[in-house]
Amino acid sequence: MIEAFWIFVAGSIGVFIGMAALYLAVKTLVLVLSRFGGEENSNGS
Amino acid sequence: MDHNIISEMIYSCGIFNLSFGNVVMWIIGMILIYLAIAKKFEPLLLLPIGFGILIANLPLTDLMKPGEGLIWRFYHYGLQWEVIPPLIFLGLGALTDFGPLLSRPSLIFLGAGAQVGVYITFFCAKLMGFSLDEAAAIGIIGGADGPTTIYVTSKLAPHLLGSCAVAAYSYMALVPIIQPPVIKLLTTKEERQIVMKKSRQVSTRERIMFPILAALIVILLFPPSAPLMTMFMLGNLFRESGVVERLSGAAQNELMNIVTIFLGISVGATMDAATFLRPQSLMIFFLGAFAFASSTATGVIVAKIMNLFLKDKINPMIGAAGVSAVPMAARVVHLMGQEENKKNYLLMHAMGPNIAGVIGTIIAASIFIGVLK
Repeated sequence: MIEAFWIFVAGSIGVFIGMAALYLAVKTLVLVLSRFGGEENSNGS
Repeated sequence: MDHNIISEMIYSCGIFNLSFGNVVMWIIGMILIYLAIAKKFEPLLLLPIGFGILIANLPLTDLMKPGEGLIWRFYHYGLQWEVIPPLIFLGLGALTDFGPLLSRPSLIFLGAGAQVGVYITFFCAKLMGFSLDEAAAIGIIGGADGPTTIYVTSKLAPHLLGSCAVAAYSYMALVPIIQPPVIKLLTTKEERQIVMKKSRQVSTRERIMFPILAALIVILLFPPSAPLMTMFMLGNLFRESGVVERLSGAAQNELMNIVTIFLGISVGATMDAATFLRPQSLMIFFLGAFAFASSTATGVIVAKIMNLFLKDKINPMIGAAGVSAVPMAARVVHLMGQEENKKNYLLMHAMGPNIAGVIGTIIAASIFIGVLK
């Protein structure tokens, strides 16, 4: 049961860490492309 | 003719080998076929699953006999060899537009928020007496992502494959019934009326770079996610690159349809009476509903927490779309938004967390696999 508890805690935090890393990567990508990526734009979402 | 031959012929007939359990499973198979055809409940999966249940419960067919049976081969090479779920992800990637997510990257966190419900359900399943592996397979149902549920279950608890898959797909069809009460319980009328700021446009370069970047980051951090993440992002790169339309089309249509057939019938055929007719199947269905509800709740709660820090408030209902169930969960949120405010158009805003939820569920699955396998 203790193992299950730690998987619960570590898993919940782990998903946030993974998504935070993805968030930072996307923000960096947006920043870099807005600075150096030229004017090209699609119709967006 | 010898008397023994006649009696042997009679007793080798399936009808004399039928059990009560087989008949009960026929009824369950028929119910799934009915729901698929008459109610349009996830018909692409529930129809072959229902038929698979029927044939798996015909005695003496040997269709699931290891090493020999036809359906066993589909199951063994497709699921046990972990081929089918990644191929489905290739198709999903080719079908997915990450634009809504890229236009507002902070929505990524809502995809993580909904996964907390997965872990809550995992812990509850363990409390109810399931093993850690079984609890992980049950918990991941809350991610509302069928192929990921099947992938995790076939790796960690293959004996629960039928129950977990049917629970996942059935509840995905029931998202419009499960989610609204949970959302209403956790939000005020004012919160539900929040109109979100229009999203920015996303460039083609961002769309092309994202699948490459996402694959690198997620697989580096969570290596067990590699089979699903690789195919998901490759499919998306096919779509966004614009230079391999044939491959993108094949992944979205022909390939996806073919593997869906084998997936459905293989999963259904694992549900023979001896495996399925146990009290634990009922518990899995109960926990599956709980998983959907708790993932919805944690998604909304994380959205409310984010609002404490954001200048442009988000409508907390979109947190509920952090469970994958693409695009059903986003549609539910959109319709609820329109009920509160006719001018509120939440669909594209909700698609962001909805897609993030798919990645979140892959990460949650890879954590389970990494820790438990």
